[in-house]
Amino acid sequence: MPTNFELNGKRASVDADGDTPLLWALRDHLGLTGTKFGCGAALCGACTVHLDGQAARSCVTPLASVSGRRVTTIEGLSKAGDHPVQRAWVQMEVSQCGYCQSGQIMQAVSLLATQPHPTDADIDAAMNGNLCRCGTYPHVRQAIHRAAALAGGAK
Amino acid sequence: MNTGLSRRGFLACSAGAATLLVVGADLAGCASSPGASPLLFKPNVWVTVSSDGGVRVAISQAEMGQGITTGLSQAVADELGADWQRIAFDFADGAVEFIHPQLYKGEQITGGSRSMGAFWVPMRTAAAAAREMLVAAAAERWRVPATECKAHDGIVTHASTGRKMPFSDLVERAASLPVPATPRLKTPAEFTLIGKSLPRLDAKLKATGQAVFGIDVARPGMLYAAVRHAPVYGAEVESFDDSRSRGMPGVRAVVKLPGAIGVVAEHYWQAVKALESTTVRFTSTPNDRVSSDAVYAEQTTALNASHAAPAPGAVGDTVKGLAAAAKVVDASFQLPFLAHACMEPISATAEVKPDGSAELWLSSQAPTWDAKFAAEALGIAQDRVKVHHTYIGGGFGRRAGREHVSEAVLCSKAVGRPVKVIWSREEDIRNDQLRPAQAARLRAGLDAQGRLTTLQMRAASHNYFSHARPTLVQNGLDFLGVIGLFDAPYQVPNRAMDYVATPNHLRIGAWRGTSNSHNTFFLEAFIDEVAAAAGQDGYRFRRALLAHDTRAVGVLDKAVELSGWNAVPAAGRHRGMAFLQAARWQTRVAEVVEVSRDADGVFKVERVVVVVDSGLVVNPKLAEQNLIGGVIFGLGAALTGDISVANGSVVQSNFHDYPLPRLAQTPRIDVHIIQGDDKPGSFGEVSLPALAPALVNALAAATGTRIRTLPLTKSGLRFA
Repeated sequence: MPTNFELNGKRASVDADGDTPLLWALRDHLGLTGTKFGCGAALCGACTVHLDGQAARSCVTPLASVSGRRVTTIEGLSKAGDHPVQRAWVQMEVSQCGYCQSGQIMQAVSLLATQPHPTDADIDAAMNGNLCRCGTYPHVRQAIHRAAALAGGAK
Repeated sequence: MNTGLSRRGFLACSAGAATLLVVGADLAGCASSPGASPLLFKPNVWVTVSSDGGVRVAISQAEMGQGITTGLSQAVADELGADWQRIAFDFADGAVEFIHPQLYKGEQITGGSRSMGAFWVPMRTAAAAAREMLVAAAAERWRVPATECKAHDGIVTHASTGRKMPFSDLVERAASLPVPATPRLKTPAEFTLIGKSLPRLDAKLKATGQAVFGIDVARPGMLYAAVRHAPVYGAEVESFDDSRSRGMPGVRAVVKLPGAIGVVAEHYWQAVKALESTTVRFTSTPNDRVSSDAVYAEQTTALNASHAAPAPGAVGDTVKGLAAAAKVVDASFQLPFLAHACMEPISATAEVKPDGSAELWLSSQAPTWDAKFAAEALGIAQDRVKVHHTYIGGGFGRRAGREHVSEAVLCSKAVGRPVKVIWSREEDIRNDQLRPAQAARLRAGLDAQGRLTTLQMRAASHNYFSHARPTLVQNGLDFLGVIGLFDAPYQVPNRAMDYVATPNHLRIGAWRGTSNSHNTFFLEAFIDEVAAAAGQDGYRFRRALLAHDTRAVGVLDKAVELSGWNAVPAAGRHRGMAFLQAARWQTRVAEVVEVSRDADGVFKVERVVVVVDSGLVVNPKLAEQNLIGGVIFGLGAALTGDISVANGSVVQSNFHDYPLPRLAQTPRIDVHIIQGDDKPGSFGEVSLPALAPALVNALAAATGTRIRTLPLTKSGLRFA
């Protein structure tokens, strides 16, 4: 029995067991590898997507639970990679190895959606579940401030 | 080093996407209608200049975040005189031309922070050859001496007549010229791109989820495998029961592997579930009761053993020196095993072909080793294995193991299809090549004036050479156990070091900073304690012992200046410092850590100052990011890093019991780079080793207590 849902603005259908984590439905069945596998236990944030506009850890989100709902992945954030958060990420050169950054960006987008001008404390609280082994944290913080400015009309 | 093709070059005219120009021969046979597919000028394996204006650089080294693909592209672009906006790179495979004969004995390996230094001359030479050929082509067209022409920004210009021509218009003629054997390299004064913080080339790919890591590779007809390893390294599968699993949806095969069981299925989650339904018995081994506590006890005993392997560099007489000392400081230290915990778990994709040859795609720091491991697993010649490497989701020394490669080829062979093996995070941590646990005992002798007269050092461990390259261990001395101590930079009239091997069965490997990750902790925590015993400030005590080296004094003085060391810190704040000098990185580093302690006694690392003198900086922003990364990596080792062993196997499994530093814990990190000379510096590891000792030295300033073991979760102190 396939699970139907909206993915990045289009209809998607995955025929897999309902307990398949959304992460593997995306990567494996749909070929969207921008969402990453890091821990399988919602401990690292690398798998972060948006479910009905809110950040969710796709590694612990069963496929059955997204039936009829709206899923957004890093690939769907923008057509040209120019979402303000993505532009800020490139301008501030956040990525080192880059593996955690899809999750970081999706989490940051979610933060800015509710708090367009976050304080450092807001950023700590929202981003603390996204691990980075390369130590990009200071640049993540700078980029979120930069994204807030870009979204507010700065160039 | 093969920097160029033979003068005849080679012919590859295709009717397809591009036409590769013959170098040094006649083009009459090539189809090259203008406006059609671009012509490619490729005088050597490293540089390709296209008639469409693009330049591609072939890079053999692994991109694991350190930015080597941008750095080497930058060096090539500068030497070539290319337009930086038209530069792109490709990952090169382990073909002979891409191997540096002096680096790692001719293996394709990325590690030790040596890539820039190793390829600096060979790749610039390749670019310079291309530049001279393009300039010669323009000079010939204009009938002027080549010496009057200059290549820059992707064009060749002739100053006195103002003529200019883009590379794109010169490739055809350039390709007909002979390749210069000894092209001239630019002097540093001529650099236009090297030394600038040019934006890294992979930034947009990584911000859009488009960068393909090893775990992302997809091949036509590919199946997936989940693997469970024996809990105790060295055990094999004794028996397994796949009666429930082999018939589960999508399952293609249950495969007995070396030390593991694998399930191959259409989709990964199917493989995972079927693996859970497979029961396995592993053989018992003599190591089934090994524990980290037992390892530590053995290492402690070894610190006092009567026999040890002497390290080189001994001077004077440490026995007499200690006996004659007015004061002796004697301290023993213990550090734990550590995991790499890269964000991308281990995986490998392999296709064993009908003819028995194999092709692999994976995140790798050692593609030629991968080829060797695959060849050994399949019983074929190494040259029948082709390895493709990708962007890596964190390396730090992790990506050079055998098991996942063997598993991928054996699973592919079993099912006759390409197979991607993915390790769970639990398997990744439990089957890591660990940073070794190591213990050390240091003794210092001070004279009546508080000067250091004697330094006697001993370390005990089962280190990386002993595990992976035993032929490199001579007379019981594993060099990786002594680097960072035997070469301590301090001037002492009597010094000696020795080492005791404490073998165990655990998988040991290279970890970021390697030997310095443990030995610099011992040395720098100790020297601070000795300074205090001499009644001196840690900075002044070290400075006097390094007075012979102006570059060492330079980083110390700068760190003191930037950190405000000589001013009394704010209330509740305390500082500690540490110094590192590593010959293999040609680097000197001074770090100052400042901690705060709140009213409840909870500590926080507030600020880290890092001053580095390592030679020429190709890209300052990338260098700075590496240094910040090393500090945070070192912070994780100091605060929480601890792999423990019980019943022969690693206890930890995921980020709940192997926590990593988080954004909220990140201190302010101020980096200052001193460019000491014109040879490229190393930045990937150098800031890590001094972090933990500087931190414990700050805590000693705060509490009066010397901490001699990590992680700090064992210290009784609380951290935010």
